Amino acid sequence: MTDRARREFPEFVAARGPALQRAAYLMVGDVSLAQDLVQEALTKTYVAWPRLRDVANAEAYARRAITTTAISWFRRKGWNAERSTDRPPEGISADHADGIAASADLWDALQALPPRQRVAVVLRFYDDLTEVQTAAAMGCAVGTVKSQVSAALSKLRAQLGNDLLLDSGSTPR
Amino acid sequence: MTETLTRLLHDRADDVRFDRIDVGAVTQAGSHAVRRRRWAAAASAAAVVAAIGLVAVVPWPADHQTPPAAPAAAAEITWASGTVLHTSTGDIDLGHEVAAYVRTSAGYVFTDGRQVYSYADGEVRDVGPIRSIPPLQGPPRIVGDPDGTVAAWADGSEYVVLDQRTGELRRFFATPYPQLVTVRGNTLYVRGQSDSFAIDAGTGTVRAVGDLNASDLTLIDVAGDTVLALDGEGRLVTGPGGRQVLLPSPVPDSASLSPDGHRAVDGYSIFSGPVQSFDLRTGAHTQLPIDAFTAYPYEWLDGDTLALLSLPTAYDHYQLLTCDVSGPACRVAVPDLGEGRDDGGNGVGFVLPTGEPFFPYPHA
Repeated sequence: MTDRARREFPEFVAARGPALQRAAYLMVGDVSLAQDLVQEALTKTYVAWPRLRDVANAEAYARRAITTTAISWFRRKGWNAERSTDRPPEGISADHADGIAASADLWDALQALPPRQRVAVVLRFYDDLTEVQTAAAMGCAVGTVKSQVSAALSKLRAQLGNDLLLDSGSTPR
Repeated sequence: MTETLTRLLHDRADDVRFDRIDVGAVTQAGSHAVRRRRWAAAASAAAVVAAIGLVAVVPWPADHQTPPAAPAAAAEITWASGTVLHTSTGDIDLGHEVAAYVRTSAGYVFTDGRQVYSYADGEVRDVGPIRSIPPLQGPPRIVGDPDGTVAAWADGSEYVVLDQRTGELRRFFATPYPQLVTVRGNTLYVRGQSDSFAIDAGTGTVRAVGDLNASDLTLIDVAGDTVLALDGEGRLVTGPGGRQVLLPSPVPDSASLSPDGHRAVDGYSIFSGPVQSFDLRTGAHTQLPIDAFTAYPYEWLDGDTLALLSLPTAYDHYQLLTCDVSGPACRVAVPDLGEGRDDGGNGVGFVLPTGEPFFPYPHA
């Protein structure tokens, strides 16, 4: 591996690794799996580092590796339906009693989404990516992102109701 | 509408504690993966040489051996959808789903993913099965020489070489890992991760390609007397006329050479920047005047004319462009090829003469 990779890669991991872990957690719903997922994605990113021109590309590459690996894990393990949702995630704060119920409901609904819809929701509404960036991360057409997000929001509305989290209107950007 | 959704996602993620990422373990695993690939490629490429026999290291590839046939497939924009090949002079129903195809001067060679067919002189002929060389994954690839009459593909543990002019088929034993790069004249070029070989389809002799193996370079393309390779930093290294030129910027490994070997282009995507044409005789590079979200060069129609697939904006339908790289100037050749479709493999509803299914985005 090159000197550039040895120098820049640890800085990249320190700067962006935690954010990638959080996004991965929302996609797979399990802390250990999320850590494994990010570890695997970062390994791919390290191997590809000489071909990535700058850190922005590296993050896009890592994000794409996370999403494609997550979706492939879902397929391989048959995680197309509901995940275990009967307990809050590790370390959740007890300070926000009102928020916990809503968060738990959202968590249940999010984990019940099909994998690609779940990934699209996380990329759009947590990572705040544009539809173009989301399409790049998922390796699909922008129109597919639109349809996946639309379908996901419809399901969330059906389960949670507009009054809980979905006012009405359009998605961001 | 989604402020609450966004806030709840952030609350959920922020309340979770993760282990610190072990950068050392990541880099160790990455370095191991690179070494493993190179070792496997080197071992299998060496096995190819041992299996086939004669090996001669030459500075750069020899001149093409096969005289071109009278042109039967014009150098024109083409694409296929379903069973139909679309050309500028009309549509041809090939009777089989076209999953991938290439052009030669004698016609077209295509596959439905299981069988390979030759289309020449107005007739379609089944010429045999196509299967990836194990353990490589993904769709098998056809390579063809647009200035010659030969096409090649893999059938399990063998390379199959077809001369479309004569209909002759030849088979060569292949061990795992080497991948078909291109065929020029009667010579088939094959690469592993760090070893590249040229197989003469007429005699079956094998030789190493230039000094790529010693230099740890990856073979990308061959044309004329030019070898295009990629070094460890992602830079192009070329050998027009036996002279090496180190181009300054990293490029994707989708770069390709003009038929005369005088020019190279790299691709444009959201990851890799604008399309550039490199004059390999001078080292000068020119940015093509394309204003698009993505544009992928996929075929040289002649020494100056490049065909590209373009998505004008992120919300558009695909177009085919042609560019005169010496101008440079570009124009729209096919204004609407339809939108990308989500078929589970991220494919689109058409294929181009690249020898493999086309994917709109680079793979992670």
